[in-house]
Amino acid sequence: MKLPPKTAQSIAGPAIVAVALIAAGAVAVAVTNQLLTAARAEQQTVRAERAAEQNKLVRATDEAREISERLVDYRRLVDRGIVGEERRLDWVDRINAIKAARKLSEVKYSIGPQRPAEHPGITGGGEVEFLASPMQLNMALLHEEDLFGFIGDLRSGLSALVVVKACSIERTGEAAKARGLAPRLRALCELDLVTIRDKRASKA
Amino acid sequence: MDRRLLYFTATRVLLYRWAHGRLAVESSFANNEEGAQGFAAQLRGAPASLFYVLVDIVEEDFHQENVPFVRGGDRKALVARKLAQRYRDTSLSLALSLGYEKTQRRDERILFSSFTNNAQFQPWLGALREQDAAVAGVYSVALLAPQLAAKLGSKKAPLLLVSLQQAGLRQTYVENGKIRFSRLGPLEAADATDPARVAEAFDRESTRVYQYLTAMRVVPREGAAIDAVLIAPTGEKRRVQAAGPNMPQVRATVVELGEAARAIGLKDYPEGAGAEVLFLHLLAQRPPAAQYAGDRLRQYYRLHQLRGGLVAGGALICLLALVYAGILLAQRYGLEEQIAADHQRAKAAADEAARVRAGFPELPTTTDNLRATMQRYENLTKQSSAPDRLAAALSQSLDASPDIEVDRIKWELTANPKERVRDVGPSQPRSAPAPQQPAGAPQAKVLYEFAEVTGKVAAVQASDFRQMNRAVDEFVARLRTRPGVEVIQVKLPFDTGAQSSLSGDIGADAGKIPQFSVSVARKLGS
Repeated sequence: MKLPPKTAQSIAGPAIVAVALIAAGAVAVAVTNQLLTAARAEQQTVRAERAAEQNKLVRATDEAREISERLVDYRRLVDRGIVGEERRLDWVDRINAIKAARKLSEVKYSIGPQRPAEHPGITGGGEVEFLASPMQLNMALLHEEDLFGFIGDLRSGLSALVVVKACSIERTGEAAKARGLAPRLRALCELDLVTIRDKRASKA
Repeated sequence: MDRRLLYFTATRVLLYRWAHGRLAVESSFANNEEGAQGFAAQLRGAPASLFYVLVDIVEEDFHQENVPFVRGGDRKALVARKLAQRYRDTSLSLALSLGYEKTQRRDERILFSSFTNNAQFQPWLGALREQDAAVAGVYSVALLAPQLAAKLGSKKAPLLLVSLQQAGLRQTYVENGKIRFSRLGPLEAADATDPARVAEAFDRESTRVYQYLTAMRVVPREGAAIDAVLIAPTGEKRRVQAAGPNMPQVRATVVELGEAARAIGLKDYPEGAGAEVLFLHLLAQRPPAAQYAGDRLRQYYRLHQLRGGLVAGGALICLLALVYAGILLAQRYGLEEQIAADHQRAKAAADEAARVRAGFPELPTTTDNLRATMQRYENLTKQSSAPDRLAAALSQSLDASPDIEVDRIKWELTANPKERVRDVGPSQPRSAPAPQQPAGAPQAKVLYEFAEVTGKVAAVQASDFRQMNRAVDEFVARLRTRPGVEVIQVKLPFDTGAQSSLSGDIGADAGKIPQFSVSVARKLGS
């Protein structure tokens, strides 16, 4: 193909127009591509946000159900005095009352200083602490049912969760020597009187 | 750029301007030196235009020849050689391929054409070159005839097209869309102005050209009749029809110039013009690929094409880019809709969660503390028990074994009852070690109630070892039947096992009753 002289000058204008058109197209593609990329990133963020909000909703729903289930039991523990500080005077009164009610001849007990309870599944950090006061019990019994009844009364009436760790019931042989109705068994027991300290309970 | 068409006849040269299907005569020059000078003068002041030269003269030559099947540069050289052999001046010449022979050699049929007197064009073409005009090409009416034939008649079937131009009466034979023969028969001035003579000329020239075609074996002598389209001047249709060729071998159809103009989309043309306006319109609208001019004359047209191509290419790329950008934008809008929907769902979930939380009862502690307290409390209560349950099982077995007398029961909670059967103290309850929680395992272990029962067999003589052991065995057997109770260890009053030592002191301390011990366990919750 034969072209006239100074062709380069002649086609400079159209070439500039062509380059400008191509550049305009490229800019349009680049801008829209950037917009699309930004939109994709925003979509990822919004999706994550939506998933988080939906998780929060699921957690809130679960929490509502859990609260409704557990709150009644928790309040019962508070009312019984299991949640809160120890009430040792109440315990002494209660033990005396049980002894009198069951007409027990001898009930010796000692309650040791309070310490963190060491039972499986209840330890752990946080604001809730299970505390145990160890109790040694020494009783003279007419019948082993006296011990079971006494422990049962403690468990139902004491403002603490009574955990029986060990008990020994032994025939004493004293009944044969004594006249009338005399204890013939001796029971030695180890118990934990467990209370719960909730650091937020008083603030709540 | 405007389109201007130079219609070149033996006597006059007319300059037409074509725009949007309308033709107008701008200038008319005599075909001589003065006319060419006038044309050059007009070009100097005219705006840049695209020029098409349409030649309608007698001095044109058509020659068909078969050449060997060659391609590329060989074909180009062969064609150039053939043109040079046939024509003295090949500056305005062309070679038009008509197809290939269906033989093994596949020879190519080529129609060679040129004007036999190029000198008459030189002043006019020189004027165009001088002004650096963009000349698209030099064409003859014969080259445009196939287009007109296709519009007015059949595209494939042979057709004889007869038209009256300012130059004279043109007869062109077209076959399969390709020109096979063309001839211009000039009319005398007196004939051209007399409609009756014009009509006679149509008849005479059509008959003559048919006879020529049959003589040259272009048309078979005994073949079917060929179609002919006669383009009559305005208002002369009937006359031409009446005077049309009266031959069974030619089926003539007469079309008036106005009808033909409408058929090809020519909206307006100068009054009194001949059929040349049809060819000029077709040339301006869709010029044929074949033309006579060489590269030198067309170089500014090539430049024009290059400039247009650059802009068109840029525009095309820009358009494609814009289309792609549009697709990207559409995708973005789609994403934005999804984003808006996700926003709405997230907000709805947040609102619902807030509503659920607002419905929480007033708590005496935090939710986490409530959960921790109750979970640990449940764990602890599951591990709690009292001796009464296991004692009840023992008591029921003892009721069925009246010979057994229990001296001591030691009860405790343990995670491993089998470990507890060793070294049991006599009276004090063992300090039951609280089962240690493994680090990182907050769940409660499985705990067992463990009891060691120590006693003796009453109402049996101390020397009756068999009876004593049998009584204890029966007691143990009853214990084993209690649900959940597992007997861990039995120490009979007299250990007769082969693995233990046995000694005796006959007669000494006959009143002492031997003791037994039974260790039992029961899983909490069973």
